[in-house]
Amino acid sequence: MKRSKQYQQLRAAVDRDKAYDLDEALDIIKNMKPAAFDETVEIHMKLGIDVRKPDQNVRGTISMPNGIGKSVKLIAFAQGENAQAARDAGADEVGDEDLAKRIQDGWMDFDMVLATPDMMRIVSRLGRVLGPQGKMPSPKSGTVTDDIGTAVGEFKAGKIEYRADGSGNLHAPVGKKSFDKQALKENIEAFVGHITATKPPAAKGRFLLKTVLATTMGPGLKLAMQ
Amino acid sequence: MAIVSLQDVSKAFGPQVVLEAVAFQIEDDDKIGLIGANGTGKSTVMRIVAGELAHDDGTVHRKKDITVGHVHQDPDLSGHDTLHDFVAAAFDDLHDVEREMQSVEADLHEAPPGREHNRLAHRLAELHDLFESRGGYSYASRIDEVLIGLGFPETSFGRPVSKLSGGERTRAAVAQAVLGEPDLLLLDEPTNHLDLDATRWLELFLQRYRKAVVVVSHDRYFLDKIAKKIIEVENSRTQMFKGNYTQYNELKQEQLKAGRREFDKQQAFIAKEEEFIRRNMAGQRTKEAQGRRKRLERVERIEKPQQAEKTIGLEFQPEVRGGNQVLRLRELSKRFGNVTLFEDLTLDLLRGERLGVVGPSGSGKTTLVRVITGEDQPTDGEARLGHNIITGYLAQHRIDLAPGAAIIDEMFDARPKADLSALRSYLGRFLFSGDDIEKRIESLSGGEQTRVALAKLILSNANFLILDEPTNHLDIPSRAVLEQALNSYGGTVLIVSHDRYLLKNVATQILQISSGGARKFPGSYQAYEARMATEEALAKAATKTSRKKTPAAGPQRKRITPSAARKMSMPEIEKNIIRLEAELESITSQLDDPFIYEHPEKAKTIQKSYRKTRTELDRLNAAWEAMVENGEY
Repeated sequence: MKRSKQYQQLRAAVDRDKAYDLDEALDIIKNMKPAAFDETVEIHMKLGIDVRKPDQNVRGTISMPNGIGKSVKLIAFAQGENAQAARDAGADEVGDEDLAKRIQDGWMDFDMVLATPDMMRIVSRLGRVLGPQGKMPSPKSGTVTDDIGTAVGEFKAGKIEYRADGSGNLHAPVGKKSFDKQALKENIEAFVGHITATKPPAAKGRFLLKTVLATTMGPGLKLAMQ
Repeated sequence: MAIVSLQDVSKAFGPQVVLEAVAFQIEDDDKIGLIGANGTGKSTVMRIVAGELAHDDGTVHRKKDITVGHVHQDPDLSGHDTLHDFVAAAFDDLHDVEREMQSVEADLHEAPPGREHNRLAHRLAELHDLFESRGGYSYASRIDEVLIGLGFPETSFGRPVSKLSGGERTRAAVAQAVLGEPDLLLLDEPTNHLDLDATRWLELFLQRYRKAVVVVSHDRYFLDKIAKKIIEVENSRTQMFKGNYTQYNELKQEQLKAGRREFDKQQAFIAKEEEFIRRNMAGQRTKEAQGRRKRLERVERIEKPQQAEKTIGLEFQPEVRGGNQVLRLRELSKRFGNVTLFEDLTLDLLRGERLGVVGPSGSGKTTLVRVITGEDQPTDGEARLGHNIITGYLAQHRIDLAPGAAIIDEMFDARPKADLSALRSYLGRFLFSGDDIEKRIESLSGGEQTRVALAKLILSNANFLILDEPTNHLDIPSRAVLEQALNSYGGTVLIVSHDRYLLKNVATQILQISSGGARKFPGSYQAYEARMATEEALAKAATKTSRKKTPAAGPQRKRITPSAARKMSMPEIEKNIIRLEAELESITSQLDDPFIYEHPEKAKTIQKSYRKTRTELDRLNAAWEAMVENGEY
């Protein structure tokens, strides 16, 4: 892949083989020449799991101590009081059959879907549309919940959903480059601590095989966090 | 980490010992080629590894919970209606989840609000989760991908399994096995019924497969591409070599040479000792002779190793030297009804050349051979043999030998005046030694019959050999013999084959027949492959460039903002509406492609592009309506 001149310059300043400690890595990131927009700081992890085994599926949610500096467009399937609670908490769209119909007609302008369990009879029909894009709500990731008001509030406030992909890699945003160093550090430590604590009992050997920090347009920095 | 290990494993069928003290390990990402002559016990090894056959002695350790997919040479497809049904059975666990999802959803609609309703709702959400994590949203497209890759056209997916040919059944079984992604994939002769494209697809698939694979194959080129280790089954024992087939062959030849040296050395020592004992047994040095005899009795004798591979020189060459021009094809065409097999094929084959003919199954290779031999007539054009050219034809699935005759009789039939000892040594080169030459044709295996037919063909004075798939049923040693025989043959050769190793070592030029027509490539098979790879890469690059130019993929195109739409004239608006509708159609077709959802980022970009284009189109439609309403039209 052809890289831009700026990327190549940034890349040259990073030692590919070195495992940086978190402070050092954040200093480098904060001092990198900025892109034209406020870049997201991302964490990428390679986990020691067998992705084919259902009991080694790493998936869940976490509220970052300092948010992620980005608001998600969120829709909620709920009725009655639940619908009102979701609306009050700031859901962008709330509905039931009407919302399902819009999605079936091709409307996909949202990042996340939440639902109360009783709405699963409606959401279930949308599996073929939402599933391939990873937007199907699930109890494991806290997006199917009875307390939808609280859930909407948390996700709006920066709670993020994560899951390991088909190769055992996990990717998540941990903040914006404009955050101060301490805020980023707290987010990263919280995230790594959370993931380490969720190691599936069935996973054998080392769990965190590799952890890399990067900005949207910048090169990756290997972290000494195994 | 080893997933299967065999220690001192033995197996006998009645009095016949098939395996003895077999020991090897299979690591979790091994790519192993299992080779050996026909009947040496390769399939027995596979069945023991798979746990389908009990061994007599030794230990077989299999890692707990590993999944094994074993494709036999003659797979059983019963219990399924169509090809697609059979292959989809690889996802039976997903079908179970899908069925439960449907049933829970139906129950949920019926259940009144309350505890049961809640339980069902939670269960449904869990099932969706499970379905997704096991690849439930991509399995349908993966089935299509694998079936098409293995050479099944989409129209054949609904064919009843009972109507599938032997080759198609094997391919279907390979498809089901690879889709199941077992921890250990065992394939018995998978390439026997695959054409070149399907073989290449399987090679690529196995190279990328992250788990263990053991393949029994006589296709040396295939083994070269995928194997990282070779296990050879010989004389009831196994031996493991690191590397692919070519590396194995080099190591094996070295080993044979070293073994031969050791053997010769020991033989010389024994002869010397025996001579001493014979001379001195009754003389003054009797005691010493007796001592030496005892010592000699204790010496462990080295078994005579088989001969290392030698390039064989054939003393029998065509007696009639044909003209320089062996074959002349001019604008040759063959059609069956509406189907054109080849068209305007022009070709000159000169004396001593060896032409390899390749192409997918059913592309017309055999028909071309039949036209050349005069068994079939061309639709147009002409096929002419040169002056004094005598053809020798080895047809696919047909061997012209007298079933009741002995091998040696067949040789005398071709050369009545030949000397018996010369014919004996000639047959030795074709792996028939000693009393073998008295064996009757009907008692020989398919591979052995092919060897006899080839030996007879070369003796028959033909100066132009035409061979149609000669390596079918041949094991690796027999293929090596065929290669050597053809390389030392003084005449001209036309050979139709899927065996790329043979083509690589024999052909001096390649004729490719495909639906796109016939093309001739001067130079070896490697040169042909390199050329094809370059052409493929160029074609891919061209598609990429042309894709970049299509407006659908182009965020580069200047977007139509509301103010831009307002400034446009009526004809401009109409022109843009047509363009955007075309764009939208192209994007929709991309979104319909299920593969796109395997790359979420790509899918997101396309969806974004869809939304933007849709908004622009709505904007232009609104502007158009406004103009019509204001009477500006």
